[in-house]
Amino acid sequence: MIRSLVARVVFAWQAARLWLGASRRRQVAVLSGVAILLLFMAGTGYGYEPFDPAVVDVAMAPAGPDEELPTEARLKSRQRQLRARLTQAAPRGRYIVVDQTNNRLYLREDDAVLLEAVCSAGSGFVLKEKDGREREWTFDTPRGRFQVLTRIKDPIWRKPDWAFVEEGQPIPKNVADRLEPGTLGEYALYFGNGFMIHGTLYERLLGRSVTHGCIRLGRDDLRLLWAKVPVGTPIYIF
Amino acid sequence: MTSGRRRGTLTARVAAAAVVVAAVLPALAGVGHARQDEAAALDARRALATENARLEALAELAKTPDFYLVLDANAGTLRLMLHGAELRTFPVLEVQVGSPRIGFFRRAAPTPWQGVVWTDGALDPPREMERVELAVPPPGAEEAPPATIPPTPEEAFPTPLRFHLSFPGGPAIEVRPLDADDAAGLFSRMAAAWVSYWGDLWAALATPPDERVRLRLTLSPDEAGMLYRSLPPNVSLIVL
Repeated sequence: MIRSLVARVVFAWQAARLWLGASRRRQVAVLSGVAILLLFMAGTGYGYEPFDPAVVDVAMAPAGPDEELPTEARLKSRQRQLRARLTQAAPRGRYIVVDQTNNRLYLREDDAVLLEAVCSAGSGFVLKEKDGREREWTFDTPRGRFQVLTRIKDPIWRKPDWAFVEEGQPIPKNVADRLEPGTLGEYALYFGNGFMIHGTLYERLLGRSVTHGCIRLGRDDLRLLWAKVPVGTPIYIF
Repeated sequence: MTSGRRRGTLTARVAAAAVVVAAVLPALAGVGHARQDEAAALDARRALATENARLEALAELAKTPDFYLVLDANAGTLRLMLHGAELRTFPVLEVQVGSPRIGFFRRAAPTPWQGVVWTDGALDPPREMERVELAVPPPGAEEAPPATIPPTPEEAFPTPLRFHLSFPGGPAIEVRPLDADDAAGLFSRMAAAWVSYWGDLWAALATPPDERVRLRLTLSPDEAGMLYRSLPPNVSLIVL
């Protein structure tokens, strides 16, 4: 640190001596070079202009000659078809949206947001089984489109193997030893592959990515969601 | 007598000319109107065709399994969508279009980017997830190891001074959260400007330039942070 500082001071001292000892002509040449370099640097980079939406219209306008344009009636009919296709693709009625990184769950209906809740999604942690079969689990929440397949009141958690591996417990052979009531809260909305939206005993951790892939909600938000969401409701997770 | 006949002839000619003009003028006016109507009808057809092209692109995107962004500068929104469902709307305060320049001269004109669907958007800097391996207690251990409590999303993925979402061969979206942050101090603004300047300088000098077109979006700092944290991988983009 000190050595580098000393080196810089020495360099500056020598540069100053060189500068003072140089002829007037050389000084002017150096100053001009620096000015040109600064000017070049000032004009290099990205120049910005306000966005003109008309450029998009121009780009999307039909390319061929005007005579080749279909008739107005045909264009209107095509527009109706396309709008119908878009409406068909979009979810009808209510749908659930989960932002798994920000840990937010939204219940939406068309443009309106009916519920915004803090949730918890998959931690992304990795669990490796040391003994036995040496399996590996990654606790991610899946992305994509799903739907509520089953609604379960007072769900009982059937603990999978990883839950025992994580706790260092032997994996039971009897199914009854896997059942754990109360852990999932009052309700669960099952959406496939073992994933659910359910309640939690650890509400203080809501907002953090702590789950094994499921979506955890606080009690009050879960009650609201349960009341408004039937089987078949689409779930979008991003 | 002769002058009277001449006067009569002149009057007849003027009358005939008036009749001709009276007959031709409405016809001419009619032709003008017809041309105007034709032009208006053509404009309407062009507008319909343009709107159809937009809807066509959106319908195609709704069919794909990928997440996609719809930037609507007129509405001032950036919408994250999947299969036609709106997942989140980010209000956009301003959109600017940037292009690389060297010594005040614009580099080669960018390839058309408007109205095209761009795929495989990648975040820069990337949002990399830390894969923590859970500690497993040895069999028969009496005490479980302390639970690993992950950080909040804001702690895990702090919003950078600026971030880009680049689409190969197409435009890039640039977001500088401090631009709309009234609470940001002078020094943080200067630091952000310094980082941006050098980044832009090298990006513009690169051959070919790293980003041929850049859409700079001004979002509120909270929305910018949410966008950075929530963007799924390989997102597509269309600018309407």
